[in-house]
Amino acid sequence: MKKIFYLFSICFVLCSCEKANTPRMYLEETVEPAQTTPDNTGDMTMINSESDPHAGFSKEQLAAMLKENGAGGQSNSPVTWTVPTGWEEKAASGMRIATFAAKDDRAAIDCSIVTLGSGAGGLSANIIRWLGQLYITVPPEKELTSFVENLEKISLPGGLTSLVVDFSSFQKDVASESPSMLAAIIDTPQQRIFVKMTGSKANIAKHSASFKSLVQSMEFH
Amino acid sequence: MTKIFKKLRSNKVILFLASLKIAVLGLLFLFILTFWGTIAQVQNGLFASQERYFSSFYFLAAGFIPFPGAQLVLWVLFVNLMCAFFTRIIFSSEKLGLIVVHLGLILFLVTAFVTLHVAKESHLTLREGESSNVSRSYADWEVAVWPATKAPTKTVLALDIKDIKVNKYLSFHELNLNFVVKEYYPNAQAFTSPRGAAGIKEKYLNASGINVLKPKPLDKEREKNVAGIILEQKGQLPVLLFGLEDEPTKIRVEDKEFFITLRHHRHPLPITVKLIDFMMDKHPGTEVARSFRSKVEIEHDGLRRETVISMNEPLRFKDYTFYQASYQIDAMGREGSTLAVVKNGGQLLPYIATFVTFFGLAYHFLVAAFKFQRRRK
Repeated sequence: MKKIFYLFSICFVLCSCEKANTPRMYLEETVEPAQTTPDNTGDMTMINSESDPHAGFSKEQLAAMLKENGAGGQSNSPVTWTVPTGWEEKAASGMRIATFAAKDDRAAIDCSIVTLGSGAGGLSANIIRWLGQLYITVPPEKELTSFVENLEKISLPGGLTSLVVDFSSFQKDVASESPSMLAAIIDTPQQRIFVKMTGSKANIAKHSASFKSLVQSMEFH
Repeated sequence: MTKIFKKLRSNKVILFLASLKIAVLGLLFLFILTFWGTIAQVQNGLFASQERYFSSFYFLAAGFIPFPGAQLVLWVLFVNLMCAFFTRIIFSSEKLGLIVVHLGLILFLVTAFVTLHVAKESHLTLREGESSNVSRSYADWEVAVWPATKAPTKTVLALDIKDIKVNKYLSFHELNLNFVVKEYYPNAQAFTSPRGAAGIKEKYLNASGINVLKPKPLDKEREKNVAGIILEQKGQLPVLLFGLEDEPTKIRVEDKEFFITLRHHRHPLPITVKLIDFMMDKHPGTEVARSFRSKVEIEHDGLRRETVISMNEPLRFKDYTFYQASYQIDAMGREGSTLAVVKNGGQLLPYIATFVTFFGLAYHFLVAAFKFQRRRK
């Protein structure tokens, strides 16, 4: 009986000892896939696809992904936002979880929020595709890398950051009626959110502040 | 010994627990749980389904109906089998086959217990062309530090923060880095508020501009919790780390620069896995996946070989098993694959249990066949 008592006591003492939290050391090797560049994009028709701003998915795939991401309006969406002053929100449709227009001139701009799966497309790949949509020649790799690295960042609630893609630096010499775009990309662990405003170069410049205030107001649940 | 058996055989509780009805009911529940849990994997993923249907004692079906989980059912079956073993089995050479079969079944249940408590599960998510030699935990967190470099290979020092306490030290002696845990939340919310706003007094080192951490109630599903921690270091600004940050925070100690981050616990793998191609078959005329598989290249000790991991054909390497778990497709149509990684030191046990059961059955049928032949003569 005594032996059992001693054995239990030793076990109890050993179990009560606090384990020292010593660091683990390991060699981590993670090689990212090669970036998509204009030279190895493969299907170039995808770049100029105007019908679908998120070319690369079939509409059924997108619909399924959007359904998964809770698309279909702010009420049941994992994302909420504040409509900027002077803008109005239109009904959500198709791939969009929200659509906005300017109150004074509904045709001036078209702004939308679309959510896709986490890590939906590399940043450079998306920019290359959008450049194609705006008929802007894709710049050399160095210039493109510098453009990507210097994108404006907007801090959002919850420690998230939005990257704002402003193409105006590529459109200095084009007419004010030329099509232009302002886009924001927000990565959350579950999804990638695209906020896109399209319209003429002049209207994009006019509504730029409202667009940024919309992005800044976005909250993720 | 025979006295003990006699006592057991006359005990009403033992006899009730050895009931065949309990065994049949248990097997029925197992059948339902296996079917239900497998179907649920499509919606909830492998890990969440395992937790809910297989690792739990019970769960609430439809939000309010208690339903036994596989762990409870297996414990009931184990007790039932043990009781049946001691009350029904007749120890004779003729019945040796049945005894061995029962031992085999008990070994299966022991295997389940060992797997539940010894096996470590993590996941490896790769895009096509990406390779890695570490898998990620679903729910555990680590504070990782490495010399500031953008090279793909880095030597990481990591401390698990599972049992961390406020005001305790967090030390990376090898790098001469010592921190005191100022705040720690197993589930946190992070905010970026302008400095000078109410409650924002301190300045922190943080790569994402976060300057406020607030605790959140712990979620029952462990993988949904996101940890947050604030570490103080002598003569420097405190470091604020949040589990959802993409970028590590750069810190400087003496003349050296390091990256520090709070991230899901990494498990070093004995191999480097590269996803070459992800392949998916769909049900005709639909977008619903029928089956999917990953063509991977594995590298070990400088040797490389290609193999395919599919839903029912995992890759096994030493104590590790890589299962095809899920997949992703990005906006450019590029595919990615998630492999569930299970490290299980007892992975031979199911095979041993199968062999034991097989030999028991074979012996039993052979004895029965000889008996039958003798009677015919």
